[in-house]
Amino acid sequence: MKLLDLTLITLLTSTMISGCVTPASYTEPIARYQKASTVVIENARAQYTLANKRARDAQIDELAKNNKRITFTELENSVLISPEALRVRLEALNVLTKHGELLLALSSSDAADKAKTYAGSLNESIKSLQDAIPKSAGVTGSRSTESLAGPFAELAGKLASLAITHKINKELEQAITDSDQSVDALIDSIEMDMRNLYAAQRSAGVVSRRYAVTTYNCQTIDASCKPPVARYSSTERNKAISEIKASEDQWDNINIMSPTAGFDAMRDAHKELVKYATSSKKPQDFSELIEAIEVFVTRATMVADSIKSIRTAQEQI
Amino acid sequence: MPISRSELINLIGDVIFKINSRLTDLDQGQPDWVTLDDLSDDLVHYQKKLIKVAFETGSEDFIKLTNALEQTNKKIDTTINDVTKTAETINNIAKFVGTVEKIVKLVGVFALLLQPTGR
Repeated sequence: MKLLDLTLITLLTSTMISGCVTPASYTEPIARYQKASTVVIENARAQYTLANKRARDAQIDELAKNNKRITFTELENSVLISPEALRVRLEALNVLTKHGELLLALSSSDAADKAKTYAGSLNESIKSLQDAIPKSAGVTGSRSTESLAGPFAELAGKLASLAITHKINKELEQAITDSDQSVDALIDSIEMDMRNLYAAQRSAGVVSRRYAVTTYNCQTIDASCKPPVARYSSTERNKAISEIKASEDQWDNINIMSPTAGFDAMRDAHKELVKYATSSKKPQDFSELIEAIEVFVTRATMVADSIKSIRTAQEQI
Repeated sequence: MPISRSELINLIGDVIFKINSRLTDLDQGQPDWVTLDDLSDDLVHYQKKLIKVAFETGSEDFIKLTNALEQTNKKIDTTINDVTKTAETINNIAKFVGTVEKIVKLVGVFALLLQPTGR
């Protein structure tokens, strides 16, 4: 049996035996939620970085193919997502994590003391996010991450300040509910960014794959390329073949990537957190919460494996 | 049901794949190769621009244009692998690129466009 399953069973069993959820019961889920979120954020960072690298490489290939000058401006314009826009997305994911941690802390019966620490941490992340938003000229439009992150930061800020002032009451419950839809929209927009950047990576990969075979194909017996391509020496031929093989390996890597892995589980875990925070907090509610977090952890473990593949792909490029 | 922003971006990606696959059958520098190569560059360029803007997809014009795009894509599929129908394939791909250009204008990113570097 997997370690993860054993942890889940232990947590569920201890909850059921005791019949109540003690303050200590929340320590483990908070840590696990935090760990899984970190993995998802790291995956997003790796995907964004790789998307930019591929776009820049494609631009260099295209300029070189057309014997055009390679300028810094061309290279800078080629990136799909600016460092500022990337910062907004990573800060937003960070705020989502801290928001989730605070919800968990608020559910504990010693919430007032515990929540203050987590609310302070959430506030710090909100400040970083709010600082990043105006500097970003990234993806524009009303449904962009930039446009959604601001309202979410405001709602999360309200939640944090209520928690800091120990207002564990109806107002706090309302703040939690209000932030729920905003969380969904934000995760959706980041997920869509990832999916679209992946599409761009795929297109760059297709073109790069074609470039790799073009000159070689001009060497074949019946080819009539313009201008004619000089015959390869055996060394050049072997080099061209190696490049084609490497390009095909990169293509395989692109096809096994999972750009949005972990986000659906993060969304579900967050939903369960909101549900639990506003519930009557029966043991059954807690079991469901733990289950959602465990699913998130399992997905995050798969994402961690995918990050390894992405890094390997990056090293090969 | 209108197609989503991601579906549009993926549809363009699919056609980029088809063009480049076809290009490997042709000789570099020949007229058909040059035309298809330029059309591929244009699509890559437009796809990139559409990724940078989070636009709305519900307008009547958008739906009309994306429906036309899907129809043209189906036509491309019927001839892309037939070497005797290269001219027809190129016409359909050019039509596809023209429609993408109209979409790019419609969603308001055309003013931001730089000319594709391949031209």
